[in-house]
Amino acid sequence: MMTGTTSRFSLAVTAATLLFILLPLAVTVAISVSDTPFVTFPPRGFTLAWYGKVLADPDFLASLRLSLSLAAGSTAGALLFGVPAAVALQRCDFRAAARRPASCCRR
Amino acid sequence: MTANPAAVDTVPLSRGRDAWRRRRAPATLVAAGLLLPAILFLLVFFLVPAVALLGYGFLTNRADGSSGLPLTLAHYQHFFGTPLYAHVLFTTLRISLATTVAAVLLGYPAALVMARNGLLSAAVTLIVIAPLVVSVVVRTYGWQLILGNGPQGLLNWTLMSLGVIRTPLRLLYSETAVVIGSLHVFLPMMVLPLAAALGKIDPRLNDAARMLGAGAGRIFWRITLPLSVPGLAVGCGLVFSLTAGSYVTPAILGGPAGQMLGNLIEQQILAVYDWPFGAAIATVLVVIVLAANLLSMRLIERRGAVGRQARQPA
Repeated sequence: MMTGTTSRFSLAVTAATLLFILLPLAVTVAISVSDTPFVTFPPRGFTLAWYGKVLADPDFLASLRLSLSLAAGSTAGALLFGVPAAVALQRCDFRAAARRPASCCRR
Repeated sequence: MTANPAAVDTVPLSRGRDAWRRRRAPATLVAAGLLLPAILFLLVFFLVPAVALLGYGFLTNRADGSSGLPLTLAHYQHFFGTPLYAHVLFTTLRISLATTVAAVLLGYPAALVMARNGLLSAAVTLIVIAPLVVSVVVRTYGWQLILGNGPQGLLNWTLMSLGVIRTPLRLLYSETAVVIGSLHVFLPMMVLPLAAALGKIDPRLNDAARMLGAGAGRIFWRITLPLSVPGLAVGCGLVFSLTAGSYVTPAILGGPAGQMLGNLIEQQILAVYDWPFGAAIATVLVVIVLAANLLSMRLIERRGAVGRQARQPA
């Protein structure tokens, strides 16, 4: 356990860092439910109208569909190529195999 | 009875392992077969285009707008000889370096907290990792709202409400804005390897040092920091390379003052249609990133050699 100044200093900086990480995400969400058609601080009112608007927009739905199918496709591709490669890299010691072929298995 | 010495040698402890090995005699072949799809994919979709791009940078532009032989260094001369492009190059290096330094300063304390076990460490880890799954565009848009130049930017509004400033600051569309945005996007790349390196440090070293009378500062400078150099080097290499190659963040937050090499490449290839010149700039960028990574790998190797010496029993 670290005690004294290092720890307290680290905790203070970490708290600031976490705020730094979360702030832009929080601001974006806050503005998305703001009742004004322009960006203003503090956000005024509360509305889910923007979400309704976006969900009724055919352009948004088309790009959402494209995004989802691309994401699914690249995940499937990564699994297809990545899983066998990961198994091989984990189970096979290629340096040993270079010295002594057919002996590359670990454990 | 004639005992085969080799058989005696492997009995009984390693019998199971050897049996496994014999059953899968062509294991190396199987492993190669498993790796092949990934290697082929990378070859076709990464290596070939990368080499093609490299080659493009040496082609001559013809009068009819096409490009071809003979090979030329004209594009590199054009790049390094034009003050505007040299300026973008130095802006890129400055932004990448500043982002890396800021990531070390902000990331190190967070990594220290993460390396300790417990609920706090888990919470910090979650918050550091969570933004990775949020699109860079969304996060950069958030910064645009915060850094907004008018009195409606969150930061300006806060500072003005508190009475710290009278007139709004100009933060957006500057190098500083790009550094802040890049730091936000790439901070996890610093924190994660750093926390992994810090977590591997034997806590008994700290105890021993404290028992021998070392203060917290001395423990940090003499034990924690030197032993975390591998993680630090990986983190710095990652953050520097990723920032140097970023495109979205400077495009949204940079304005004319904060344009980086990535934006210049996009402009040359998609707007000017000067593929060879764009390829030459891309090659310069790749060389910079490779150099940064070689440097960080050298650091790791030196540190690793020292560590191995220290661990070797007398």
